[in-house]
Amino acid sequence: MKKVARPPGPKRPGAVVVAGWVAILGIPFIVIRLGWLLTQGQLEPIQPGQVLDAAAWASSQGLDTLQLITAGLIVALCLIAGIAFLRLKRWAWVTLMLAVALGLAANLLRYFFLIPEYGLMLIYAVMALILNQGDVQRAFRVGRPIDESVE
Amino acid sequence: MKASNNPRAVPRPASDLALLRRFEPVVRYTRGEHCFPMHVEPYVRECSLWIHHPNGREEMVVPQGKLDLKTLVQPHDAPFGSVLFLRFVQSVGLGAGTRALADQARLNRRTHNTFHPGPGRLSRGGLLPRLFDALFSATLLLRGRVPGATSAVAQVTYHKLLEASEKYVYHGRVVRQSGWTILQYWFFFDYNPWRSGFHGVNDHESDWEMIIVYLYQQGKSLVPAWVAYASHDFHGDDLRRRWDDHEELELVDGHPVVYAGAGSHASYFRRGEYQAEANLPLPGWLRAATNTLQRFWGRLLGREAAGGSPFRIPFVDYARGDGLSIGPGADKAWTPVVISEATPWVSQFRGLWGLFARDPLSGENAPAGPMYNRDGTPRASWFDTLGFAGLDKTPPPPLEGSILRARMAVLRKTQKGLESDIESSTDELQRLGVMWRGMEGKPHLAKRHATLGAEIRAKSGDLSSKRKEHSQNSVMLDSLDYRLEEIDRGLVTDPQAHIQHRASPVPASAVSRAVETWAAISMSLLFFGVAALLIFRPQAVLIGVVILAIVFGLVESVLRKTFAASIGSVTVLLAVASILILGINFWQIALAALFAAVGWILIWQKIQELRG
Repeated sequence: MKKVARPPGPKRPGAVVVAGWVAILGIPFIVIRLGWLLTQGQLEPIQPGQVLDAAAWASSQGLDTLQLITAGLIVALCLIAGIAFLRLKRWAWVTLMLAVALGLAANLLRYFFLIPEYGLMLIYAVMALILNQGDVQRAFRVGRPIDESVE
Repeated sequence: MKASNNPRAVPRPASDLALLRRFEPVVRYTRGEHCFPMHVEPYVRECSLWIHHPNGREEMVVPQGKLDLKTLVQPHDAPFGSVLFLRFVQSVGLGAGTRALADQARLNRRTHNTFHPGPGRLSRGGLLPRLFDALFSATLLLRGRVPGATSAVAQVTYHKLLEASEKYVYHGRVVRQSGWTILQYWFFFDYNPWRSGFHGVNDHESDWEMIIVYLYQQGKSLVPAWVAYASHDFHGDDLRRRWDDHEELELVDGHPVVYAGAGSHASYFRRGEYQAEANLPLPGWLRAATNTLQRFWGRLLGREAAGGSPFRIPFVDYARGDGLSIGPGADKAWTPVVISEATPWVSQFRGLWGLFARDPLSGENAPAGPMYNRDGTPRASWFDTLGFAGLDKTPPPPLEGSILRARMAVLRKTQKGLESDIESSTDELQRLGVMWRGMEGKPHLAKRHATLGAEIRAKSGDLSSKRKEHSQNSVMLDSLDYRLEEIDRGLVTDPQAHIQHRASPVPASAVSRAVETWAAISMSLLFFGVAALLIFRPQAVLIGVVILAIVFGLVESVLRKTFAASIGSVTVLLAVASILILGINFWQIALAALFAAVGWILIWQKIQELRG
């Protein structure tokens, strides 16, 4: 069977490649860090079998559980959005931005109320600035076109 | 640029009144408007005259029924800081207020003159402007304001006056200044019901609005050249349109058409709904900080700014022109009244033409007359009728050519003088240069050589300045020559070239019912949320408010279909906060990284330079 050459896809700006790979490669970093915090006893989520009432959620264990759920959500979003980002899927920009927003918000809360995670904070901040770049937004048809006046 | 069609000249009318009538406007009001231009006399007869003393005491000087235009201008001594004011609606009790509101509703039903706002003004602004709007409304409880039923009483009273003698009046004034014949049309209203009737910024008793027509003489005829419409407190070039600007200025048989804002009575050139914005009076440092942050947000971070100051409240000025029209060929005709400085009530009554509501922002206080500001100082639109619309720098067209020729003659004379100076200076410099060169290599002439060198440098600088001036004048003369040719050939220039900021109607809002409903209830929900936090989770109020604000912002963005942009903005905001925290906690590393980056860039540039 004769192989049909695939038509060249849209060009990926360098920043898109960087952001996509940072999103994917950041996942092991988050997982290892969470694992380390769990083994060190710095994160103590609600255990299976415990009563899940309002008091449990308001306790430090409840807060830790919420952090774990948020981290899980961020990991899932980063994985899906990171792959889709590299494939220039239109919805990937919003999804990745949402993951970064969650990450930044969670880290800011940790900074003010618990132990700060400066490494993750830096990664998320850099990711946000990369995603905010005009050429990245245009690659996903987000924001205004380049030739449109702001006025 | 196209060949000229001179605006239509009219034979010079015999009197000022005839002149005013020839160019009187057609004013189109919005359906639901119930205040129309009236003569000041019946209004004053309905009023009482008061003095507000600096200690807060209010004293009635002339009671209702005893006041007319003669007693109005009688001098009234009062201490410094006092405010003299009229009161059209006397004190309204609960019973009288309720009756007036019922009468008003009956009247509106009978005349079928009701206003339908359409898409609300609140849904045209975002969450922040709505928050400020709520706070602005709350300030009305603290600031002085016109009492609630006053609008209804004013409407009912005006309607009775209209039934007794149906007249629609403008007060016209003719001024001749700097080659221009200026026609001012002043419109007086008993009430400004913008807030109570049309969701606007303010209510106040009485209202003065004005338009100006500028004419120039050509032989024995007068030619209309410009027209300016007063709109809120704006002034300058943007207020005027050229008579031949058919895109902006509507004419009916040589009469300019005005679209009046509902309740505000501000004048517009085109029908539509105008987004007026009330900017909150902020301290200078806060305004400067906001501008800096907006520049940082827009230019450095590339985020789309919301447009204008965030500390603004959007209001809609409805100038739909679908209600009563007054003027030549319209529903009702004008009754003109000629006024001037010699008219006693114009020049001799410096008080307010309605209730002094003690509003420190003045929005709810009645205005003063056509000649004065609220503080009694002369009003610019009266004494500087040309400068008011930025026409003080523009001569009447027939004079433009001769003024230009005179100016060009002066410039040419200057050029001749400069050319002569340049020639003699060049000769002088060459002579000095030869001498200076001749001294070289002669140690005993070193001092004279240095002195001569300094003299040469000074003269050379002087010659360079003259050549620069000559060159600039040449360019200027070319440009003026071109303009003179345009004038001589009668070519028409762009009629809108003078406009910097044009007031344009906003397109009909295409917001959904859900957005409108959300816009209407969101602020109340937010305040209920804060109240619930204070009662049930007082220890988490701050974080709760932040979460509420984010949730409300997200709901808003989903409804307005701006979710992607909103998520982007929130994330960038969080990133900036995170970078600030990192910078504060690791300032040494941040500084080192900055220096390292600069070093790296410099090395990179030099390597590129070496590679050639």
